Amino acid sequence: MDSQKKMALSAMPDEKRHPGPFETSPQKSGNTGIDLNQLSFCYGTSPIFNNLSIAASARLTVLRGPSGCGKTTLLKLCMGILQPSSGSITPEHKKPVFISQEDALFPWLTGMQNIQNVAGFSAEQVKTSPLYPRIQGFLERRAHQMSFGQRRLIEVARALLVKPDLLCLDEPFNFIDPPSRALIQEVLMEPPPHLRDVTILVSSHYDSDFAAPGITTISFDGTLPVKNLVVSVKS
Amino acid sequence: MNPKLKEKLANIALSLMGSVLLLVLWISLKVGLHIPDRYLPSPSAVLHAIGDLEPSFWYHCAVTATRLVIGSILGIAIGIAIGILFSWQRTLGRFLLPSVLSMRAIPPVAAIPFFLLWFGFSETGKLVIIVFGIAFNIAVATLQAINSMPERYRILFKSFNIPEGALPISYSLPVALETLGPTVRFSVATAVGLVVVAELLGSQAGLGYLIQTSRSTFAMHTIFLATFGLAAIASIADWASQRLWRIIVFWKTSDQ
Repeated sequence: MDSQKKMALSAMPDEKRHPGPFETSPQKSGNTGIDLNQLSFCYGTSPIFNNLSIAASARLTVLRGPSGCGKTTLLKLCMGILQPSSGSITPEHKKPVFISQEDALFPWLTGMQNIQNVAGFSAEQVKTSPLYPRIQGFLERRAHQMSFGQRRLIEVARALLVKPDLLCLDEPFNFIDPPSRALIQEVLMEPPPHLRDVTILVSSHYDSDFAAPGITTISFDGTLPVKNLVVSVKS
Repeated sequence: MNPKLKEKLANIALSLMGSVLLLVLWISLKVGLHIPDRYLPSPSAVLHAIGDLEPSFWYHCAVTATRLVIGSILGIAIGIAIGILFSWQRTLGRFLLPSVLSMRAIPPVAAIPFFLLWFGFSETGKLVIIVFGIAFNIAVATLQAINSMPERYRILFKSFNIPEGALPISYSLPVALETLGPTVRFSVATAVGLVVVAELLGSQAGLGYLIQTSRSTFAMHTIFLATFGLAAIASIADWASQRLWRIIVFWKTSDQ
């Protein structure tokens, strides 16, 4: 991994709320990254973000912070599941994929059927997944017969097969075993060449996840709303 | 002994004790209060009625059970199909749902004269009565199950560009099935009542017919017998529907 650089961080004068260490990633590849420009969002009358600006050009960005600090909301905004009340998110991603905290496999289908029926791939195409060697042992098992870690691996494999331009993973390591955890981290950090243009946003409240040097990390301290925060992470 | 088996045996013993208690109460009332047979027949008279009937009591049970099974399966299947169709064809759903909801509110017994006029005393009419009585409830419950999609699936379909109006049957059918268990149980119970009503109004066989003909001859022991037969059929149907549903939604019950 290349050398680390400290991330440029600035907050608006009336707010000084930046938590945690920031590191920039030198692993930018192609047209990756995401820009949030003066983003505001509220659930009903509860504001979550007020003038949040993030410019992250890294391929992989990790959002850290305690539960309820707005990580999932931020991912949903980037994904287009939620709409900001003001501000903008660029670039507009054509094929965003979101892997939610709870697994979204259909328990009555096998792993293979979950990939084929939802993503529309043939069995041969499924075999081209970088995770195939790890999942082939339980691919024909029904999802309700798999462990949570196995289900998560299937989900990541399914998501990578569609070659998304944005991949959002919400707490992907909850409840999963250390080997599966390490495997998913490895695939996300060092993807095969054809997946190096995928912008990946991951939320995690484990400091041990993506602890390798060179990973872009944006941390929230848990205070809501997040006001007038400007984060710029350039590769 | 396995604790689960022990609990099961205890439950069976309790149920049997309840039935025995009922029998004791029945005999006590009959003997203690000297109630005449025309109001309360003795258990032995009811048992003897089994051999007195022509066609046999078992034949009438089989006819009723067959109508119940066919009518219930048709009603449940048609209800699920309507619910899934409405989820696929949103415009059609919006167009027809108010009518379905209003028809659901009509007591099926109140609609029986229509069916008698349209179908006479045919088997078709009896089955249509059962289907009418349960299909709309099942359809509404199915549609509700599909529409109450968990957020993780909603996000999944958005991620993979699957419009909510075109959900694959491999999603919509199982998601409906896994929430329909209680509605199906209720529908089977409703169907038992509807079979009897249909048989009471016009039939040549079945327990409802037996009750109707016995009423005209004041054969109270036969009415009791037919009632016990119906109770047994209803209990077996309830048990069987639950067992069947556990098999159908295997992914929910596999851990139990």
